[in-house]
Parts: sequence; C-alpha cells; structure tokens
Amino acid sequence: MYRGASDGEKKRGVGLACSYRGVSLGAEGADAAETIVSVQTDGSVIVSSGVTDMGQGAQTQMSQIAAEVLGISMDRIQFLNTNTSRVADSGPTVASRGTIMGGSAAKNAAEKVRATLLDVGAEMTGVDLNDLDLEDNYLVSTKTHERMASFSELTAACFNKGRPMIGLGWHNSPPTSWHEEEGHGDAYFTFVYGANAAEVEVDTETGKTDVIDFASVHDVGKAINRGMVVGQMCGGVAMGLGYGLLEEFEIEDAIPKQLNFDGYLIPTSMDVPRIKTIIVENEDPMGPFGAKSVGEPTNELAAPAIVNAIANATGRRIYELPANLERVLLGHKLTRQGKRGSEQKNSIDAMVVDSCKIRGGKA
Amino acid sequence: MKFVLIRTIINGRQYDLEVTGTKRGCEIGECGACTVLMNGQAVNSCLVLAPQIDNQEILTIEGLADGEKLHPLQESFLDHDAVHCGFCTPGMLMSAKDLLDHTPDPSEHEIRTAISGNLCRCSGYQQIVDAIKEVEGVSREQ
Amino acid sequence: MKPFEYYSPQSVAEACALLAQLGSGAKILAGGTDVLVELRKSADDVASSIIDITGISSLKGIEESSNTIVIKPLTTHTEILRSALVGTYAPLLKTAVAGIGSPQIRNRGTIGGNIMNAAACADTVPPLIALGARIRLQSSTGDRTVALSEFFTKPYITVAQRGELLVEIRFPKLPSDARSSFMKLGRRNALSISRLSVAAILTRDQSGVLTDARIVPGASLPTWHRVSEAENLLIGHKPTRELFVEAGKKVSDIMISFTGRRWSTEYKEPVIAVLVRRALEECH
Repeated sequence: MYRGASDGEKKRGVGLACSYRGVSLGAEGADAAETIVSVQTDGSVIVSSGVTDMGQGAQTQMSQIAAEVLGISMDRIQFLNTNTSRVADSGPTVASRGTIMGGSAAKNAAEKVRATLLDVGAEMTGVDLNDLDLEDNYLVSTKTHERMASFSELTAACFNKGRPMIGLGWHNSPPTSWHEEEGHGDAYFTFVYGANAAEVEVDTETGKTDVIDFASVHDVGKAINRGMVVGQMCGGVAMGLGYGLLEEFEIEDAIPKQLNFDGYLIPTSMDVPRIKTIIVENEDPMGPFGAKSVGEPTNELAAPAIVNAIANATGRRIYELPANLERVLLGHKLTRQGKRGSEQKNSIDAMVVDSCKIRGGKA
Repeated sequence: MKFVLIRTIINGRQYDLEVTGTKRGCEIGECGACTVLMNGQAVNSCLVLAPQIDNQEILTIEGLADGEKLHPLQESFLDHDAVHCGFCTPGMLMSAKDLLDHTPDPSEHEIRTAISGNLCRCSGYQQIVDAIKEVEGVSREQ
Repeated sequence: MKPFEYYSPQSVAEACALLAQLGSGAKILAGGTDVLVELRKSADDVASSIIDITGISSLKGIEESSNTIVIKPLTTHTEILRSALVGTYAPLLKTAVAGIGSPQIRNRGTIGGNIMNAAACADTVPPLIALGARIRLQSSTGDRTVALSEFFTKPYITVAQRGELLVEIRFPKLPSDARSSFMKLGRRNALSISRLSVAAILTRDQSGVLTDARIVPGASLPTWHRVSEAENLLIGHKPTRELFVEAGKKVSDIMISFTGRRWSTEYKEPVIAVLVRRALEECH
C-alpha cells in the first residue's frame, strides 16, 4: 500500500513505467544520413545535414560533434538549414535517429577534414603527423604541447596548397539480426532504456487529477549536450502528461473536432510538476562518442506512469486516454451530441450549457 | 473617426514591418506566442487591434536587448538552456519581464502563474522557470 | 478577418449615439478577448462595425460609497484582482477573477465584457449575482438599472436592448460577518474554462445559526440565479456536513429540472453537488 494513500476525497498514488526501445529505424528499412562539414579559409566552419532539426537540438549536437573532432570552439560553426539541393536526403526526423545518424555522419565528415588539416599541418611544421592534434582552436604538438599554428593559419595554408577542406560524411546504420521470414532476431542494432515514476493526486469526487511529483530516468548512451538532454526529458514528460490527462483528439465525419488550443488542451506551466531528471550514460560503440537516442523515449513513459499512479490511487484502471475528468470519475468518456453552446448561440432554442467555449470570462 | 482595417498588431507587425521576433500562434489568445508588453503589461497582441496601440507604449522582443547587449533575462535563458525549439521564447521573455518588473523576487508558484498563458510544447517549462528564478543583474525596482 | 469599420468614441454619449446610428451590425469592443476571436471567423454574422470603448475613461475604475462597491465595466480582471476594496468587500469575486484565463487575458479582459458576452461559464457572474449586483445600462434615449439576476434570459442572450451600453456594476459590500467562496472546476490549472463553478455566501448569528445563504452555480443552469430551494434548507440551521451535502443534492436536482437529462448529466449531477458542498464548507 502506498504510504500517501488516504481515505479522504483526494487520494494519492504512485505509478511506474519502464521501456527498452529500438534506436533509429533498424529493420524498418533503409537508414542512412549525410552531413557535410565545410571548413572555410578563415577558419570558420559550415555544417549542413540532411537530418532536419525541428527544435529538438539536432543542429546543436551535430555542430558540437564537428567542433569536438576539429578541436575548435562552437562559435566558429554555422549550421545551414536542411536543403536537399546541397545535402543528400537523409530520411525523416523520426525514430529518435537524429543524433545517432546525423551525428555519426557529422563525426565522419569532420574526421575527413581533420585528416587533411593534420596532413597539411605536418607539411607546414615538419612535425610527424602522428604527433599532431587539433585542440582549443590550435594545431598542437602532442609531445611538447606547443601550439604550432592557429586553426585559421592552418586553414589558410590548406587553401593555399589547394587541398579540399570539405568532408562529406555518410553514415549507414549497421545491419540488424532481424529475420523477417522466420520472425526472430533483434529488430534494432541497439536499444535505449528508460523509467518514469509519477505521483498523482486524484480528486475522487470530480475526477480531476494533478501530477504532483515526477522522476524521469533515461539511458541516452552519451549526453552530447546535457542541457538539451534535460530539456528533451522534461519536454517529453510534459507532452506525455498532456497525452495522459488532457489531449483529446476526436474525429467526426473525417473532420477533427479540436482545431486550435481552445479545444486541444496541452499542459500549461501550472500543470507540469518539477521533474527530477537522471541521465544514465551507457556509451554505445554504434553511436557518435557513444550517444544513442533521447527524443521519443522521453515522451512514451509519462502517460503509462500516470495512469498506473491513478490506478494505485483509486483502485480503478483506465484503459482509454486521456484520463480526463469524466473518464477518471465515471470510467468512460462522455460524448457531446450536437454542437457546443458557443456555436449555437444564434439558435434561440439552444439551451446549452454543456460546453462553453468562452474561457471563464474574457472580453 | 472612422477607419477600415483588417489587421491586429500581430498581423501588422509581421507583414507590414517585417519584424518577426513576435510569433504568431493560435490567434485566439490561448498560446501566448505573440505576447508583447503594452504599457508594461503582458498582452496577447493577437487580441489587440492596431489602432488601439496609438499613443500606447509597446515593447516587443526586439526592444528587450540593449543593442548588442542582451537583457539579463535573455542571458539567463541561454545559461539555463531554456530555449528549446524557441517558438515560445519571445512571448515567455515578455511575460517574465512583466513579472520581474512588478515582483522583485518571485516564488516558483508566482513564476509558473506568470507564464501560465504561454504554452510550451517541448521544454516542459522547467528550465524556463529556473532561468526566470535565477536571473541575475536585472533591475528589480518599481 | 473581414474588413470592418472602426470607431473609438471618447465619451459614453458618443458611444450611445454610434450604437443608435450603426444598428445591428455594430459590436462593442472592450478587452477584445472574445470579440477579436469572433472577428476572425468568416461567418456572415460577424460585426461590420466595431465601437472601441476603451478610450472612455469614465468607464474605468473601482469606487466605494458608504456600503456599496461600484465597478466600472472597463475594469480589467487584473485590476479587480489587485483591488483592496474587492479583496475586503467581495473576496469571492477576487477568487473568481484569479482563475480566469491567463495573465495576458486578465490584463485585457474586462468585467463588463464578461457580463455582456453572457456565456454560461463566465466566472464573474455567479459571484456578482450572489453579491446582489445591479447593472446600469445607458442608451441615447435614457438609462435604466437591472438586477443582474434578471439580466440573462438564455445562454448568450440578455435583456439588453440594441443601443444599450453597460456603464456600471454596483453591489452592496459583503457584511463583515458573512463568509464567501468561489469554486471552479476546470480541466487544467490555467487557461481553463469552467466546467462547473459555484459562488456561495453564508452568514450566521452569534449562536452559529445560519441567517443568510446564497448559492449561485455557474456553467450548469441555462441562466444564472440563486438556488433558493437549496438556500432555504440551510437558513435557520446550524451548519453541518450533512446539511451541506443535502444542499448540494438540491442544487443538482434543480439543475436537472431545468436541463433535463443530457449527455453530460451523468458527470454534472454528482459533481455540482460536490462543488456546492465544498463551496459551503469553504464559507464555514
């Protein structure tokens, strides 16, 4: 029995949800990506990729990976938005494949440029190629730790020698052991692992459920950018909380009923609790610097953890989402017949107070 | 006085002035992406008609920084990784400025209330709340 | 957005003259939080003229006289929330406006607009009716005062005539021995429309016996009014949980007597009773 359980109107419960999930497309189909790293004569760097950033941070992680390989600071890098007229179509931004595919291609591309730069550096300085490194915007000797040339001097020299400073990085995902005909094997070349714990308070007289505490733990392989990983984890939980409690999407006669944010309710800052995030780094040889996935895995566990917590609090399990007021109180949803009140306001017969579109008072 | 007009502030700003910092979202006052300060108060610019700002003081995200020098809130958002996809960020910053201008040392609850009209789909709000809570060097008089 | 004509009168007289002149196509613009949403719809009945009254300074502010509070219709929800007068003499109204929309909506939305829009979920109306508010309507031909409880006839329909402008909301100060509350149930904790709400006021004598009870449910009856059948169960008795439960059930029964059994009744029937009980307990 959960320690916070009570006999009052508001009952608390805890719920857990765990997952392991495949990284990238795996046996679903062809899985490859291109990233281009183009170093300019002045030492600035342009990175572009066929993997599209829609806000999750793909551009940042690919830039960081290129900067790491080239031993330069991030401010030298400019990322160009994806355009397949200058970089290969790299498939969709799905399956949490941005880092492992685009990032691997970025690493591959940057390594090609790095090899050229070190080769030119060896010619410039007379130091053996194997004793040179790129570090903190300089060409350095690994033996003496002496700065032999600035990155910009090196790139200018490279240009003057007519050497290409562009790296075309292509990454093809490794094969899986999945056997389609016989139906066995691993469908993915690697997996991530995660667990979410939710604590809820259910108002058993109204069905209103508040998530009052939450913990999210994910194995991401290697966190390329910890701030963005935490952001992905918190954002994934908030989205999952909406999926679990609020976001109703109904289709009637092929037309969605919820067409804007007055009907499609996503969580506000008042609905999302403080989330404890724990990043587990379980570096994977398949990923760039050991990185795997962080997007979708963070989103998938919140709703099951929350409905498990509701079941723990109330003793009743909900099988249909969202677990809104009606489903939590009555165990099933209620469906409006006819239009909502505000849409009928010109009909004199409408005595409808069922659903008021006007927010508690505006105008 | 008689005008014919079809523009609210948010439409006017984007198409007539080519100033794009303020984001156009739901256009029904539900998302807060278009938040600007009107006489120091956060308002949804989609719900204000263009002639209504005549002789009013309007501050948009473009006016938050002092030239190249970012506002302390903007610095704090960067320091706390509070910009995720960034679409809600201009509106969030304006709501946060309204809060800090009137409430010098807000509690977490006050911060969450102040940004409750700004929907964010991808950050989970946490780093935004932290950025507002831990902002440094902002003038907190008034 | 369809083109429309825009007027910004600077006085009530000017606004009333415009209302009379422009007729049915004219719409008053106050905070704009509902009107601008309407204007964006491409429906045929969208207003052809907008009369923006926000420049009329005489329609703003909160005042008190000996035992009356006067709120001018252009007062925003934020101004009501920050008003010491409202906090002291109408705390349930303060609670109600605190839960409206978001800071941005409260900064623009006005109490007058909330009333005139006449949506069943308007959060300022149940407290105002419980407080016994009366409103003054002015037109180019005169003015009149109406009890707010008699102002609404159907959802979105009021007794206001074409050409009438709301110029004042007035209610008696809540006596110091009265206790009040406002309960709102929404789907989320901000930007939330009232699924159901209840405004309640209780007064008791020195022996603890209830001498006055006012209960106004929101978003449940076709129009707002005090539920005297439930109030009468309370008056003359000492408050107990059982009594509050009974009053809640009575409100629920009355609701169904008006609306019949509808698709949402299965939910609203028990929950409005709970909210009434909680609102009364909050007054305790």
